[in-house]
Amino acid sequence: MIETATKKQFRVQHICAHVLLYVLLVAVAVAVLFPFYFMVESSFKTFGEALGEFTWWPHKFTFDSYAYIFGKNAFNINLLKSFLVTLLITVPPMVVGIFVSSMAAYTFAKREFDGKNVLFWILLFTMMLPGTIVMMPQYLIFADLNLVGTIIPLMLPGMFGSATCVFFMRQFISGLPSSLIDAAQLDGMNHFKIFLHIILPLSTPAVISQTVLWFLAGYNDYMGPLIYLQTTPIEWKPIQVALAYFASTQEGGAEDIPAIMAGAVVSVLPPLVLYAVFQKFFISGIAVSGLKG
Amino acid sequence: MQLAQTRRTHKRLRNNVSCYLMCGLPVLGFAIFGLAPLLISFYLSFTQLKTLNFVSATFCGLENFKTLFSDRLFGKAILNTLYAMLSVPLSMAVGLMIAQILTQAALKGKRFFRTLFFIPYICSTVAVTLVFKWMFDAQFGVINALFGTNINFLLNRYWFMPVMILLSVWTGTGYYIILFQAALTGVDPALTEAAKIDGAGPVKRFFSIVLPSISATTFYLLVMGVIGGLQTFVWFQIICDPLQAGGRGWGPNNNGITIVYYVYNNAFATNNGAVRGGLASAAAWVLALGILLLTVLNFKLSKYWVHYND
Repeated sequence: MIETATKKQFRVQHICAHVLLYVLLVAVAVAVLFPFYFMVESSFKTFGEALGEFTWWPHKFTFDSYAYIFGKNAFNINLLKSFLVTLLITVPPMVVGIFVSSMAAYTFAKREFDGKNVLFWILLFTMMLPGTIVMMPQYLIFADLNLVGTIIPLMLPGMFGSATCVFFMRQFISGLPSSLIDAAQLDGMNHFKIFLHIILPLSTPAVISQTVLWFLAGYNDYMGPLIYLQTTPIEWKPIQVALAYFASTQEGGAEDIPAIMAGAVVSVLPPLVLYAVFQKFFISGIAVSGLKG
Repeated sequence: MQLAQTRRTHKRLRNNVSCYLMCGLPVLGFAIFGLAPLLISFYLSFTQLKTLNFVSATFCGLENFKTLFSDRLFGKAILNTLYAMLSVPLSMAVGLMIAQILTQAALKGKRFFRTLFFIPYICSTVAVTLVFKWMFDAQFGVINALFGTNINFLLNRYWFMPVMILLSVWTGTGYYIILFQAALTGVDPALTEAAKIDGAGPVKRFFSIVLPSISATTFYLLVMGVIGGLQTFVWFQIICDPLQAGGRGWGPNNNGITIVYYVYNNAFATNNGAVRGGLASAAAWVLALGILLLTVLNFKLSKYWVHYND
């Protein structure tokens, strides 16, 4: 009798705790989604409604702001063009950089050579180097080469791979059986071929993970284009700086909030789609190396 | 005999060359885009640089460091950066709490929540910052409408930083959730079970079993968070953009200037100022040394409280 009473009490407590936790999780979820709601909602408002008395929902629903940021405006902002510029800047270094990094990762993981440790420590050091300190000297170098205002400074460094990527790939490749390599060597394959035909295909999950993270970091990069493409016309700026520039040059007069919010919606869509598709890879990649930038 | 040895040396040499070719590019990249700028920056910190061109640099000894440490704006930048770094322990604490709930409690929809909570972390900083700016708008923003207040958050010297910290916590917590969850699943269930049998409640269990078990992760995240936090910049630059504030984009009462923002301003003369490249380099070096010092200190201190599982 007493026992069932305590059991019952325990159950009630248990349920209460669960309800409490759900309330907490839902509250956090609301806090997470809140800004997105306002971003989307404001983008469908008319200019007058956004900058008038506050409303929770657009009373006059309009797509004008989207038409606006895709080129129908006097500002020359065109986020589609800007998106393509971003792709142009991000994708080639991503492909080359991941290939180069993986190749280095294979070498560090599976081969022995003189000076291996020194070179590896140098890479480790690169990861520790704060970006702030190299920002201006790098700019001066590119300015000296007359490359400021072009997309080359934004693309070139990535072509050499990234230390973070080397580390991540090395971790993965270390876990692959060395017997595969020995067997391939007996078949007369050289190390480049082993890397290309055996290691790289086996590393597909790690490569996808790095590709997603690299793309995201490149897509979200702000500081780079901010510095190097300062004088580029807005329509040829990459999406992040185009949007920021668009938002900041309107001050003084009334900001076109719906258009800015429409731009924000458009600019977060690619990462969200990527996340929806590659969720697993995102999480495994970030757990190991984090996002750069 | 000698022939065999030569052959072996030859083979070793060939192996080395092949390895260098395959792993050399990232190292070369570091030399060009890391080491060279690092050395240049070191040199520049002892020079006056008034245009963005090497040639105009003139040696001036420790002048920049003297200017730097007597510049109130730099002091302000350090204070602001430290203040803004409150977001690191805050988002870590919130992240850990949520991760603990998502790991321990037998709740339905845990995956859904985890997926959802991670979204802010992947969204572009620019978009997120612009949305926050709009939400906290003095006249038409939702926050004022919601609470019936009339505060100009981003131009108010007391409100400015809390809003920035909120933005940072909102963005960063998802990352900590993922990493803490990974660590929490590694906590030995036998330990928590034993504590349970001994009559320890969930709070007691959390502090005496779970927290010590994940101290290595906590420590790592703290170091990385501090290093990241010291380099806070983009949110501040967008919110306090000089184009908006009539050429002085440092926020109310200069609360919006961070160390990196200070470096950026002096390097690229964005706030209607002059290029002070030497000063920028000196400030960047102070930041880098600070990061180095904190990293070393953290590692030294960690011996006393970090509990590694093996």
